[in-house]
Amino acid sequence: MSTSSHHWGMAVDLDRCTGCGACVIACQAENNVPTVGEEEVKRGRVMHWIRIERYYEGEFPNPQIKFRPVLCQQCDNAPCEPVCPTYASYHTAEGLNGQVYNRCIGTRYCGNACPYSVRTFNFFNPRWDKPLHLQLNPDVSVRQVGVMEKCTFCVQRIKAAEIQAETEGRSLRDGEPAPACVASCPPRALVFGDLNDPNSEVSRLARSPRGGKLLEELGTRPKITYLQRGSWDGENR
Amino acid sequence: MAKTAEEIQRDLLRPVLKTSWRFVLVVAGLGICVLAGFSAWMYQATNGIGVAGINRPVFWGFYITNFVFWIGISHAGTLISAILRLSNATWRRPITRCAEVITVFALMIGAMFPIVHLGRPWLAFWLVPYPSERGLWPNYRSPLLWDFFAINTYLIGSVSFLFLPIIPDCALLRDRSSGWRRRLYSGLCLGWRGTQKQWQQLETAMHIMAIVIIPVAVSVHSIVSWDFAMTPVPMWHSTIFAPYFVAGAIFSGIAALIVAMVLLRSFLHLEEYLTAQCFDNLGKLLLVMSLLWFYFVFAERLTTWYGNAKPEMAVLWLTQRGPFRQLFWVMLCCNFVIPFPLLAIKKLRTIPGTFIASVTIIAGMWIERYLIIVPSLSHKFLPYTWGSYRPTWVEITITSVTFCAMALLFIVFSKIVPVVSVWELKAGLPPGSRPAGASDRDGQLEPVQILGAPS
Amino acid sequence: MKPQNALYALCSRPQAEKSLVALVSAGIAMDNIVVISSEPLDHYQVRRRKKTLMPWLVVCGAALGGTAGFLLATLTQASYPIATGGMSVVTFWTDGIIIYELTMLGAILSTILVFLSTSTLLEWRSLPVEPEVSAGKVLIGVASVPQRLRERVAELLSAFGEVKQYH
Repeated sequence: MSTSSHHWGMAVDLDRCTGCGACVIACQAENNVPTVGEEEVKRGRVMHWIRIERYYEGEFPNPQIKFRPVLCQQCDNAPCEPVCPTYASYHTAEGLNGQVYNRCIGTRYCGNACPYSVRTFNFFNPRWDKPLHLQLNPDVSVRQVGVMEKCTFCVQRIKAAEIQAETEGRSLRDGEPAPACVASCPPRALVFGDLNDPNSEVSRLARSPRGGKLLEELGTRPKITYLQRGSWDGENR
Repeated sequence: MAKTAEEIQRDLLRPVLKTSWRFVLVVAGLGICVLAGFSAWMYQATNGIGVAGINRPVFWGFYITNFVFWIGISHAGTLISAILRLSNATWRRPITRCAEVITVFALMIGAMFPIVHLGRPWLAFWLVPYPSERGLWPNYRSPLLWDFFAINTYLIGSVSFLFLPIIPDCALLRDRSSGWRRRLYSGLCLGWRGTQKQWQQLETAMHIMAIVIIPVAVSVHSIVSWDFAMTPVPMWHSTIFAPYFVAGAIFSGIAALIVAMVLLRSFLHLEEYLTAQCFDNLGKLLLVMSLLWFYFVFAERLTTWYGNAKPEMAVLWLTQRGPFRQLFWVMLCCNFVIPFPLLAIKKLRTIPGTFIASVTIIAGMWIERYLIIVPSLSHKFLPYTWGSYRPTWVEITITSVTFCAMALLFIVFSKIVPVVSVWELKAGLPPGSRPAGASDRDGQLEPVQILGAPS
Repeated sequence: MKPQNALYALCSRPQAEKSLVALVSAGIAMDNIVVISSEPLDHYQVRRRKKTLMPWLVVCGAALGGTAGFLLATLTQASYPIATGGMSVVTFWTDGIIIYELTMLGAILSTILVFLSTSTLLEWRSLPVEPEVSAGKVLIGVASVPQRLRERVAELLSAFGEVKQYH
């Protein structure tokens, strides 16, 4: 639980998601996520912090496709946190699952422990061929080989918004810190906000009857609510 | 045993004091292999861990398999030495040192692998609790920290357990050698003379060490198993893991011990010391462990199958019907189907029989560790993230080289210290084998009352 | 503890008991008699089990190790409190494992230390080195021979072989 005034959470509306993938690109641009190349992707080392999972049901000519954006669930009972020997993975006061790149020695224990497999690992030193290095976001560090990384809810944007609000002597407005994926989603399927504020949109959606949590039975207490009209084991009502 | 004390001494010291060209050749060959493995590791350390085959979701592969495997092998010494010492089983005398040596070297090799598999191995020292300039201490909630403490404690304990009874044999070698060897052994034996007080202190220390090392060994492999069991991965998050792994460790340890003993026996001509009776006894122990292993595997799989939970069943079917099924059946043959008749039927429980059983068991146990790690990681909860694993030449090289490294360490050790404990064998001789005739064991001489003696 | 005026001789194993009895009845204290052999002798008198403090010292060492483990784990967890996975800052289940391992380490290290310090190892000059001992002979001698008994001891020891002096 958070000890400060904010407890960040997210809602993902699967009924609005079109699977366009804008969130994936926005995240990559914002957070300096490296591209690993075709060979490495084939070996299973893709580095996207958010991914659009696609599940196919039915046969031609009526296949059904379900999209599900999966990112770090920022679990309150995160299995990835206690297993890190160097405290690289830990729980911040605002309820985020923080990843401290400098502390990581690359045991990859957290990657195994995460049931959602949202953690990615730098198997090699990332490279940005010129002129792509000009695209790097100066607010976010670049990670070295052997370091684990994952979605941080764009903590740099959260911090920037908090500092801005404090300078202006006001509190944060609902929707003010917007992670890159949330800001870039065309149908507004992704909603971000403060779960401690009962009037914020994300709190309202978290209470929605359409809402459920991913792998809730594992007891990880994730902070992302997935909304969909159908039930969770695929029977559409 | 028709050997006299003199003959024992001569036979067991011969490998230490005499070197043949074959020894040099073997050591050179193994040394080259070890260097090749070391270069492969350096290649990985400089180019990035990506040269290995691990990926997402299978973040752990060959290296952690080797880690668990070698730590498992290191449980040989504890069982044989400590438990048999405490239960006063005299047939342990020729094999204790061999077992203790296997423990120490297997532990050293196993403890190397957590460093090999790190993404940033030059920072491995951050697992050591020391007051750092960041004010940060290691996370004791992590099973990797428990590994650090347990393996180090076990290593220190095993080295001591090995070294204490070596002291009198080093004194023996000091008396029997000259020149630089004499100086070496004088230093190694730490000034041992052999007074009765020293013998008593040594035996008390050995007794205490034997009592202490057994719970340490049990804790070591339990903690290694908790590296897996403390995560919510399907078929890892099981309470059976701790006893399952300890039983498996003892199982593979005894098998490794038998293999080492058979090889030593033929290369160093120790036929009269490592007798068929020894192997018969060890074979019976191995049979018990094989049954126990099978019991644990069955219990775990039965519980999983009966529960019919989707994620666990996905992993279970991988090994029963899926891409890992061939490895699974090979493992079952190697660990149970082949050894069971070889070890259960008395006529087959000979030296060749136990040797074949042990070799298959060692292979089978390596496969078992692999099958615990990789299938579960490859099929976790979200099917979109399912993956597969294929090792690369780096991992295969380093894995094979560890066997060469073990052999090399063993051979070099047998050149420095007699690999069968000389003083313990001489102390266990039956009456009548001593040069001067009557022995002082079994209370054959009656205690003499000393009247008026100042005490 | 270097012996002064030490006299010793090499005898065979069955003779060790007799020579010990002879020396004691001549008036030498048991603690003054040194018996060196290449394996432990199990005679009744030669190997009188003296009370050894080692087990108690090992228990103390283990307690010390356990305390060290407790302090290490709990104090460091509290000094830089970092929340992980819904657990408390100081987690006694996991600290228990650290405490257990350091208790065992304490026992092991104290065994080694007590053994090294009480068994007169590392005191290279305190006792003689006789290669004959490794051939099966037993060295029996007196560490500090009182002047008045010197001839008697020499006479007793000469029954077994050459009497040697050690400084």
